[in-house]
Amino acid sequence: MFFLHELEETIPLHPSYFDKDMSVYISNELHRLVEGKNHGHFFTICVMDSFEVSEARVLPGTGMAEFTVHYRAIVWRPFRGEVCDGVVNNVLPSGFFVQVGPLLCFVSRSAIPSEIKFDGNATPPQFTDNADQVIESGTHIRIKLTGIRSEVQDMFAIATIKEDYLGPLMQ
Amino acid sequence: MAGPTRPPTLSRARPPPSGDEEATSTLRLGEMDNTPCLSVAECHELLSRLAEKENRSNPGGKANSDVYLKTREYVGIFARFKDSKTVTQVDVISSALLGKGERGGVTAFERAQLATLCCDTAEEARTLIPSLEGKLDDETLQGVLDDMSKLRDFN
Repeated sequence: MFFLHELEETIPLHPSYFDKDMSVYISNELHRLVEGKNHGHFFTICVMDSFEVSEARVLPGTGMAEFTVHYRAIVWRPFRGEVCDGVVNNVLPSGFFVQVGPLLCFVSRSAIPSEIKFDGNATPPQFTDNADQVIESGTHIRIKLTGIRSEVQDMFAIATIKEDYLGPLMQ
Repeated sequence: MAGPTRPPTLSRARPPPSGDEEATSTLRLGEMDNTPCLSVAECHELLSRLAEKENRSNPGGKANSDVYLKTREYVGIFARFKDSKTVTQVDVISSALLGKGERGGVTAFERAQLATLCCDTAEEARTLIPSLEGKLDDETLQGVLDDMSKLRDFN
């Protein structure tokens, strides 16, 4: 789910930037530091605006100044039990991978209904129930997240389609 | 070995994430509990406007991160309402539900999920968003879903 989250970041600035364009430098530095980063539990997609920049604090010994910036950002955070749509990007005999925005999810064979079987002879390889449900690379699919693991700068999730109203999107 | 002692911190420490945040039949969103939520279509709209603004002020543009590009692609595919007027209309329709119903009413998260998933029936909506269970009666929910599907863009 996308959120508009209020966050805070400390930005150090070199003395050579102390001029009339300082606010521009601070904002550029903020974008560079936080955009596209994973903060443990969520991805910061894009900084929307910064609404408060604190007074500078000169760091003893270096001459650098430190600013505390409060900003609003668009963040994306997955939750266990959340239903979301994604694009299949890799199909293996043991399951398939789904890309949901910046997150890569794995749907294992035990989380796929038993009538949908792997067909390795098709090109590209696919999961199919030999009727209208075909899961191959590029298929749009609706999944439910069952577990999320956070690592430094990255996240992985497992998901299921073995429940009602989940699976390839028909429209 | 008496080194310098740290002064006591004046601010209260932020509570650590409990790690049991979930969106199943109960919503536990942790620090996101009172944060405004965006549906995929709203996010698509917002990101396009920000990109437009960025382009005007700084043509040529900055280098965008991998996460940003993947998200742009994702919202481009799955935004079910593309026109900015329609997005506003859907927002009005779905926001009318906020706070309505039993058990504390529909939350911002459930509203955004309804606008994102665009279910056909009340039954489907309740299965995909389990925390909606027992909050709204069938007619109200079905009415809202019908209003939203009328605005849908199938191109």
